Amino acid sequence: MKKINIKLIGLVFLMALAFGSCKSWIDTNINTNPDLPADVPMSSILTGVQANMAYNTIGGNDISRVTSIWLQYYQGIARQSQSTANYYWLESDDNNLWVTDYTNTMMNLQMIISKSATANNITYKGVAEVLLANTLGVVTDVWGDMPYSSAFQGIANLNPSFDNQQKIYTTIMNLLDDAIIQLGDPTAPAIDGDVMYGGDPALWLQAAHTLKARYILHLCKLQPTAFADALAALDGGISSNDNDCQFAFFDAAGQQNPLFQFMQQRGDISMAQVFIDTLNLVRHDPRLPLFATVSLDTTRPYFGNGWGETSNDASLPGNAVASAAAPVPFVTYVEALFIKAECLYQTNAPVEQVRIALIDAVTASMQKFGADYVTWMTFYSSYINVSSGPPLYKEIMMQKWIALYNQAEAFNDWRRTNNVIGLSANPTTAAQKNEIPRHYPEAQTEVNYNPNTPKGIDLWTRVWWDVAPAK
Amino acid sequence: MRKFTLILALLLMAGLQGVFAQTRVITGTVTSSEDKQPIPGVTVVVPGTTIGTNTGMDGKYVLAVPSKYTSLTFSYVGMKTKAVTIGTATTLDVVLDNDVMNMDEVVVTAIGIPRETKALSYSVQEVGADDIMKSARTDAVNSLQGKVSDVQVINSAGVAGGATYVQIRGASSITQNNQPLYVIDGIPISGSESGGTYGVDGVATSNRNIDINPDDIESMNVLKGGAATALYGLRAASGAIIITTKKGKSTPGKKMSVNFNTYIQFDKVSMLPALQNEYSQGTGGQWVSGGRTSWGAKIDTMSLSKDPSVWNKWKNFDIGGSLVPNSSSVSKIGPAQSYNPYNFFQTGVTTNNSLSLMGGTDVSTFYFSFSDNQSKGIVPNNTFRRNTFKLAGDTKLGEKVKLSGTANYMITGGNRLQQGSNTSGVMLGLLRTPTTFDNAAGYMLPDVENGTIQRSYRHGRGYDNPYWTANENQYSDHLDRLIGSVQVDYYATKWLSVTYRLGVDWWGRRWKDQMNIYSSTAFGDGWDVDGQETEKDMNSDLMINIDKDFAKDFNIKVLLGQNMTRQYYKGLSSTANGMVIPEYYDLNNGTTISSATTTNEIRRAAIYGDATLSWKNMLYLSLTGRNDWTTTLVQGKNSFFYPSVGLGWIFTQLPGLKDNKIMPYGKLRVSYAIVAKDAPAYSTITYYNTPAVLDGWTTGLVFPWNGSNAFSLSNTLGNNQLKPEKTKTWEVGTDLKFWQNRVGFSYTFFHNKGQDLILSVPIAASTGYSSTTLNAASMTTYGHEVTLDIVPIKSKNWNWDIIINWSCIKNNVDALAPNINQIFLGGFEGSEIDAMVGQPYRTIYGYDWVRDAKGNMVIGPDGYPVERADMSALGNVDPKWTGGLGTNLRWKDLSLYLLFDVKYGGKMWDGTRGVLDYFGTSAGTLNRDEWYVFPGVTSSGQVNTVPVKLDENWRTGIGSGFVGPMVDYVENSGWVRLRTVTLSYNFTHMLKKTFIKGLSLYFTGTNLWISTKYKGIDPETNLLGASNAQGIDYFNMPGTKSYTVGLNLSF
Repeated sequence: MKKINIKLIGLVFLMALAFGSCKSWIDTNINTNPDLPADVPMSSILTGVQANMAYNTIGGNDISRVTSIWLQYYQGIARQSQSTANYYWLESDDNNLWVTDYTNTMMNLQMIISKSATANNITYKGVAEVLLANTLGVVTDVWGDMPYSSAFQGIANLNPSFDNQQKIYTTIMNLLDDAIIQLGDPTAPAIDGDVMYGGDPALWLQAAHTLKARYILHLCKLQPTAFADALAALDGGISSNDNDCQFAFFDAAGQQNPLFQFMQQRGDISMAQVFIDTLNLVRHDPRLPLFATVSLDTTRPYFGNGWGETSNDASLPGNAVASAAAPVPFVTYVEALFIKAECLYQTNAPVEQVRIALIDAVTASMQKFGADYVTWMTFYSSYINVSSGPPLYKEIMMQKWIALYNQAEAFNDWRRTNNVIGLSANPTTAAQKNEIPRHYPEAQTEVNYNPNTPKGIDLWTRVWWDVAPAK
Repeated sequence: MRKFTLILALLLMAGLQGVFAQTRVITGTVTSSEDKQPIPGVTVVVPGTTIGTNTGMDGKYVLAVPSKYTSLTFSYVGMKTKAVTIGTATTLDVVLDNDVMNMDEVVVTAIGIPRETKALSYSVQEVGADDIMKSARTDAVNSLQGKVSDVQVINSAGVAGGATYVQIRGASSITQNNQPLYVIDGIPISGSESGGTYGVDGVATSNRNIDINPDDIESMNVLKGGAATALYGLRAASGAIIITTKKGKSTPGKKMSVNFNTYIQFDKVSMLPALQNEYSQGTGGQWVSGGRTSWGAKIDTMSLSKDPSVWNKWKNFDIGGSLVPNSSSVSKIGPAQSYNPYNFFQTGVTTNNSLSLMGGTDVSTFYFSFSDNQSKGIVPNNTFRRNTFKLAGDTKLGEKVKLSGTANYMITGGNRLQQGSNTSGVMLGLLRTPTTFDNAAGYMLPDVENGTIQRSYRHGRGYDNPYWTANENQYSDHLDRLIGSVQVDYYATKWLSVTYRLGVDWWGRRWKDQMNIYSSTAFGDGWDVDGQETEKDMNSDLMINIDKDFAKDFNIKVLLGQNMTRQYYKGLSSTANGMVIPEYYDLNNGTTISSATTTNEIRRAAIYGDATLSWKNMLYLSLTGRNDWTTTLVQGKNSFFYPSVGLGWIFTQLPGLKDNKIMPYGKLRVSYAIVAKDAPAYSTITYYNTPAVLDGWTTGLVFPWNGSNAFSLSNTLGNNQLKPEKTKTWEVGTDLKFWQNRVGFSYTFFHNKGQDLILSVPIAASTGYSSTTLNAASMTTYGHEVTLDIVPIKSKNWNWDIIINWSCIKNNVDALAPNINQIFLGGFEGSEIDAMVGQPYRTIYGYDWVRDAKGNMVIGPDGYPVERADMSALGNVDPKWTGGLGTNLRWKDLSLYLLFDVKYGGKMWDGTRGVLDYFGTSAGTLNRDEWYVFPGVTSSGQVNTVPVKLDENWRTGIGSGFVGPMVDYVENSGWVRLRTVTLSYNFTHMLKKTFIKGLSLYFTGTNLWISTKYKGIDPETNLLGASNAQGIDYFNMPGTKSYTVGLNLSF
């Protein structure tokens, strides 16, 4: 027995030894993912945010395609796009966009802003503020109230409250004002990772001014001074088509424009009859071959599907917006010129000045898209030069609708101007209302996981600035 | 590791001491008390040593026993074990009694510990080699189907090499793995956790259970409850399947025995969705070439024409001609036709050959096997192949030490096909194709016309021709796997032994996913993905076993152990998009190339102990405790202890009941256990990752982007406050045996309460993140399990036995996380499988029609129902109860086995039918021209009387599951099926005089008969494979029924 006891003691000792080695065996440092960094430089975040904004937040198929169907640039002819055209656009449909706007866009912009303070780099701060203001604008314009002041806190606040849209607009203005200060500072350095403006603070400053004019103008139904204020804000705005705030795409796989990818991978939309007829039959607009493809019907080279029509032969979105390398504009010189024309008209500027501003805007749009416009412009100028009053105003908004083709900003103009361009709603839909929608439904995951999400919102709810006209 | 080597060396030295001791040779014959015949194969051992042998064919044994040992133990399956004292005589003849009541039956429990069934305080169920062989399934786990209560086995894809989902006693976790731990000969292997789960598209891959050769398996033992698995700790929190493989055996007078098993199996598609063949491709009642849907003309009103006026631009697509109305004046070549898409399926063929050699001496034994399994699926070019080699052996180093080891080398792989929600999916293209378009008439066009060379019904756009995808979009994989172990047993004394076991499971897999240019999924660009992944699991156990009688009537068995494990996974894949040269698949052929790596490393350590105290073979008290340390939780939260306690009472040992004839065996058992589980690796930190710039519609952007790299803060928020989750579980049950074991009854009730369950929680995006990991959920699961076995006839020539299993489970989600009432487990947004508070674990969640308080549909003034704006719970995926009835009837050497498998209740989303109603290809759209009145009420509560048509306008609007609500496509997926029928004949008796020791021929049919209300394919299916989100059918590959002929030969 004695021998055994010694062996036993030896074994127990060995077990204790084996167990003692657990300390180094259980090294919790191995629980750090070797394939992912826990910290990265601001420049690499900025590139990702810009790409995500171009592909989702600003130019994404859940914002520009959907609003373009409602604004009758496009007709939804199949599957989900057909439902969108029939005014079915559900909580689950806009969820991807909402989530990516908050996480991949705004949360990452928050990271840049906080890192820029530590690094004391005012250009990163200014650029992030411009992009954040732009995102807030895009999000609030379709969703109205949204979380901001208590958002982006992770586990510390899993249920952020919703700021009303007025507060969001104040935030947008504050962000742009601060950006203008940062970017206007002569010491602001050039930065890396900016694939839109090559890190030039002066160009971002122009974008900040133009965005400010845009967002002031959005409030025109609430504030009569908006037109004058917007006009003033344009000072220092984008100065040429070359300086447009836009994101360039490329022909290579994985580098292509979102609408190009949608048309290639999904299809389901064609040009809408309303837009094609406006360009083709009414106006003979030289941008038509750039805006739309030639149809497969030899008897009518350009045609769009009307309500309830689903022809596969119809014209499709053209190279101006749907080529692989078509850029996604965030805010442009053309828009600035249209803001100027509209504000001049609304502030009762001399009619010649308004006409010149409109011709300038249309000319810039023609040049922007590379249209063969010289001959057409002569006719058009002579037509404009006799126009005045409400018809001139309607023409400004009509031309802006054409120039901002495929941009969600057109949806804001349409609501803001109480449909001055006279679009009619889909009469064939079985949806709850035969009216063009004005609002996105609250995103599914926000409804599910944040009890502060407003209830009772539908597609026809009006956002704060979208005041219904007095009857 | 150095320390283990040291331990090994010490053990070896200790063992060798006994070699030179004095011995005497004992001989004898072992016979049966019943028929006085000698029993071959009886195990004869000196207790507490390695010394032992087996009796030969004549029942005789010869064993050299050192003089210091004074007893021998004789044991044989089905016989009562007998201990005999060695006197002065050198001849020791022994008579063994039949163990009619299986009192000495031994099962392998946690950590590979053999225990007598009677001593267990929990239920176990076992499936043996013969059952596994005759069910003839490539993945042995499938042979558990219908045989073991409360074990759900779902063969999720009807493809060769598809994954199988296994769940024991319901789900225990919300978002973590719910599948059991697989243990082979004491080595936990990477089983269900690896592979076999996939997204809504892509290909159905295998999970790692399939690598095991079923013919190597001696038994599969299912450990269900917390008390049964407590010693395994966190890895077995969802139960364990203990696989014991065949071992070599010494048989005096025989050096080696050989077993050869072969079968050939034919698979046919079993159930298919009903399609219409009366209406053509097109829209608005008109035939349209290239049209997306089948809302065209009635086929019998149409003719085929090759007149150049109508058959021109698309004649390569409409090979048989364009459709024109019968009344048309153009020249015609015959009436319009419909084609049967289901001609696409072929007969699948599987051949399986396995050979094993085993044998040994009193000192060493060996087992060697080789197997080859080759399958060809029901879809062209779907293949699977598995080769396995196994070598196992043991040798005795003197009388105290036994050294054993196993090496399994497996090669598996195959060719897999695109499936599911995938424009290249086989079923998707097949079923959406209009009946007037013949996919079989060619899938590739020689001329590049209109930018495509694929011939499919939408002029090469939209969806791939299934023949194209089967031939041009191949996914192949190849896996090499080695599972090896070494074990040393040291018998220190008669009552104490020490075991050290080291096991490694290493596998490496490479795959190639290729998509030709002009495939729909790659959007005409093609792709090539090359991937490699490898996993290495190491497991080490050091155990001290004590088995001692003390005082009078008391026995104690104690196990003390220490365990260390490491799991390491590394994956690397590269994707080339935008292929330049058609049909050339290499990364260098792409215009954009991106790569990704994945790592997963977890280390754990544990000490554990198990003590069973028994009194008079009547009362058994077991206590276990285990403390785990893990790397996946932060320091201070990563050590946790959990105990179990169990009591078994064989009340028939009471003096008054002992040896009664009616119920000779009765046991009551009760146990309680806590099982804890750690978090997934890397959940405690928030990382940055390569931006995922996607929009849900397209493939999105790839980084590096135009020369710029980028990072984005991960949407998954790390949580360094995580602690282990715990499940408290108790069970109570009884095992009763009546009338010489002619009737056996077993009942168990269990109750699991999971708390602080770790789950991946979606959070509102306004937090800046979309998900995090929290200790927040709780779930209650309880259920009843009943097993009844009856032997109505038992005689020399006739034997009939019946085994019935029945179980029901309630698996309720009590809480998820603050303010979170549901969690997406899988599916599509709007058509989801969710975990919802207050609902059973797997709830179908989606859109419904607007209903009144009584549940009647509210019908609009136009006569159509109205879609609800928000989603709601629409059904529970899991069945109300499941049952199996197996019966074996033997007449002399002929036996017939039938296994019926019943799943009662449970819902599945028939997404396929929902989509086909939109496309107009389903049989459900044949009523398109008929008037129909929706059952329901108007908004004022009146019964709806407005007749409407379920026409194209309605179906392509919200009147289908494609864009409309899913509710009409949530179907009952219950079934009654003849899971297995086996007819076998044993020729062994006829061959007594030959060298052949066994020969049997069998025919097995699988799933030959199914009765179900489900309207699609065989409802034993799942789009997402072996994942938590079961219950989705969206263009899944159809299941099969199979016919097998097999032969088993041994000599």
